Amino acid sequence: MIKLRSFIKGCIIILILAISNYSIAEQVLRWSSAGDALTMDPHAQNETPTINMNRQIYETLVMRDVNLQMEPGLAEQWKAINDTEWEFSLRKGVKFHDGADFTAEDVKFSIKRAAAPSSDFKNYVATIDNITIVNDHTIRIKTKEPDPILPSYLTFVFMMDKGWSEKHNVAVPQNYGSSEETYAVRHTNGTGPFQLVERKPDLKTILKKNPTYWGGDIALDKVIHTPIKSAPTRIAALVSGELDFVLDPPIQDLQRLKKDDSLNVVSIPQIRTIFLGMDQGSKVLRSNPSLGKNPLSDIRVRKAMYMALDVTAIQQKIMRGLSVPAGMITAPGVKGYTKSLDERLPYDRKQAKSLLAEAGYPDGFTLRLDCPNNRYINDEDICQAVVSMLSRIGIKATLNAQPKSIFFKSVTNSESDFYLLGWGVATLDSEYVFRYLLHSRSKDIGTWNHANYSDPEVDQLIKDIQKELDMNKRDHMIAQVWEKVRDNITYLPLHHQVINWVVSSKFDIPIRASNEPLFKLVKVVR
Amino acid sequence: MNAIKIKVVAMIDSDLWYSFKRSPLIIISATLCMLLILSSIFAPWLAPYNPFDESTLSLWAANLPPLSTDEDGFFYLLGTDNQGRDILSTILYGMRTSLGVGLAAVVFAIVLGTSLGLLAAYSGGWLDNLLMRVADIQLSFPAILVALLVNGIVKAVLGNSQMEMVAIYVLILAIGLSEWVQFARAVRGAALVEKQKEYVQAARTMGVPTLMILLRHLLPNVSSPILVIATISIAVAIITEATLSFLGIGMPQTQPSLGTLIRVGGDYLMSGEWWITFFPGITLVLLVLSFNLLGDWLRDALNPQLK
Repeated sequence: MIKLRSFIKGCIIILILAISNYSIAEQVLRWSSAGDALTMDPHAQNETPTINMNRQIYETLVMRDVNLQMEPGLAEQWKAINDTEWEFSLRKGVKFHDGADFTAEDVKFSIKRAAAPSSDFKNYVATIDNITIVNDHTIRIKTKEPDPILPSYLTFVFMMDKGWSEKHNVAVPQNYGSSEETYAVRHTNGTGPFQLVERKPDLKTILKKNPTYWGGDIALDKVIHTPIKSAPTRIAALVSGELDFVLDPPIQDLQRLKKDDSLNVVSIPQIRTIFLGMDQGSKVLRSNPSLGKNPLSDIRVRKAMYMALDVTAIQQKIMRGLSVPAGMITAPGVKGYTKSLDERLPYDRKQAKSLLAEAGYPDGFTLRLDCPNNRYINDEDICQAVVSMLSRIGIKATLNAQPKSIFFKSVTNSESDFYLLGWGVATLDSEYVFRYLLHSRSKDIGTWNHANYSDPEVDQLIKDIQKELDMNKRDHMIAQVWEKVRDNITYLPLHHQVINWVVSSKFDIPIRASNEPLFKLVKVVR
Repeated sequence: MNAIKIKVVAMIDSDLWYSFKRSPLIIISATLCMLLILSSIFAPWLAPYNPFDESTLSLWAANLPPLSTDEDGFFYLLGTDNQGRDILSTILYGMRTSLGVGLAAVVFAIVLGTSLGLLAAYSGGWLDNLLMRVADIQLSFPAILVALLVNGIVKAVLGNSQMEMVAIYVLILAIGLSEWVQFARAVRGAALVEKQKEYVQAARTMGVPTLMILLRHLLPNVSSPILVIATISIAVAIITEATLSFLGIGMPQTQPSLGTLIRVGGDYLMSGEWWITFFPGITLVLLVLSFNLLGDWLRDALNPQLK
């Protein structure tokens, strides 16, 4: 009897649980990626995963939609009043998560905050001279020189509440480099579709929906992010149903995941190109000083290396078809990209060898290839393949593959002769590539030009492009720069990355070429 | 002295040989062990390809399943990995590294453990106390933790870029340091007994230097436990090395051991390319199993109480 009674009791409890689970079920999206956001301070780190997490909570004046087209965000409209002044009309009735109103004061405060020395977004607001508040919902931004792409840079400047920031003593961004802890590192107050509920760095971040979001209702009640470093573990968790979405699945697993009915694999070409950089400016190779000279400064050597790379094999075997071989270091979708510039030199080992002999290195030479091993898709495998391809024309490269934290440090300190890098284009404009990778290196421009490429003509063109308001003229100058770079073989382009997301068939997450999911756009399918 | 030595050797020999002949399992594992050791020693001649000569690799031959032939007509018995290396060849070379690290680590542990053990037993007093307490403390940590610690410290001191060159020595040091305790304790125990015997006292009265007594008189008589522990320790050392390499802090991918091969292959397990990790895994199991069986048998065969 007792057994039967407890059995019935158990049944009832299960039934109640089941019903309650279905009737008042919250829509929770559990997702994972290899790494976590580095901080929740929206101006402290210019790194895609960090920006992406903050973008669910904080918002910008100008936003980018699913197709990365600019759309009104916290500014309803904007226009250039004259060559150096922009006017933004702010959205009315927008409130921060703590209930405060969003006003022109907050915009002025946020842009100033983003320009602070400890901010990692200084470059984005560098052209801004001053900001005038016309009224509560109108501001004018004056730039030092004509800046035609200011709105596009503003898609990265998050708006914070002045009152909240001052109250919690976070009116300047966290100094990330010195591991500073501030209130804003673990607490947020934005205008965005989600609010931060719980933040355990590298373990778990829980967001819940903002019920009074100005942009309308949101399908998800909760978003839980659990970073999982090991790719097989991440995928196992997805397959077993513990996750609904994986941002960065290993591409070798995609074939199998596609066969799983409960999962969808979505792909889109990413705005990111993977290439090899060669220091052509220094006198000798750092990794082989006994050679006494720098072979990489000889265009014939660079061309030989280019022609020795079988990128089709890399695409087929390492990227499993999920990459687009590249002839330029910027991707389709970026202003200035053209099909003809993206054309590669042929893969020709024989000619590569004779070029190398012509340059005076019939037996090749030795150097070190520096490579990250957890930043880009299959980065270390790509580098290994490059090493073996170069060794077939006699160039003996030793591979130094390291985690991104160490790798980036050694590249930024100019310790590398030969390195693998990927470059995304935040503004979708070639100017962004030029200012970081092609302008002669100095303190505040050409900061990532570790190829040590320096051409005064190119520098002048870049300066002109940054000020030119006539779009036809500007396009023409951009094309000129790209042609020069192609003819000089400044970089060795490999491929444009393709993004793949694996999503439970329960959800529809619109994929974006910036590799940034917007959880406010997620739909629940069933 | 010599006569005693010959006698002892002959006795061990005959007894060992007898029990060896009676156990087919041991014959099999000894044969397997020899086979694996020989094939790793002669890897450069046995392996069909040299997997670490980059200029012979073709990416187009990557990820081929076992028993396949690539476009250029090369045959791969156990398939190829993600860079087009022949799995059979990488296993032969990888086993070389694994065995080399295992043996060297054990030799290091024997030298360190035995000398400290002898010293502790012979000198006694505070030195004995100190050494044995250090050993006790270390015994309370798992060996892998000690190895991780040593590895981490060396990495922090040397920096990542130099790590690749010295990885093998660091591993030997780390694993050796994590295993010396067993030797030290066994040797100390045996030496404490031997120390009381008359021949040692005689040597001392005759004025033989301490070092000579330790090396010529005590060491030969405490060597049989060393032999037993060593055999089992090799198996443990190989597994520790494989674990460290599997965790990504052991041998680098450019000079892989079995553990490195298993780790690299693990990334492809979910995508159906099972052979990249399966064959190195099987090899590791066979290697460790045969060493373990041999060690167990040696312990039983050399233990007079079990006769």
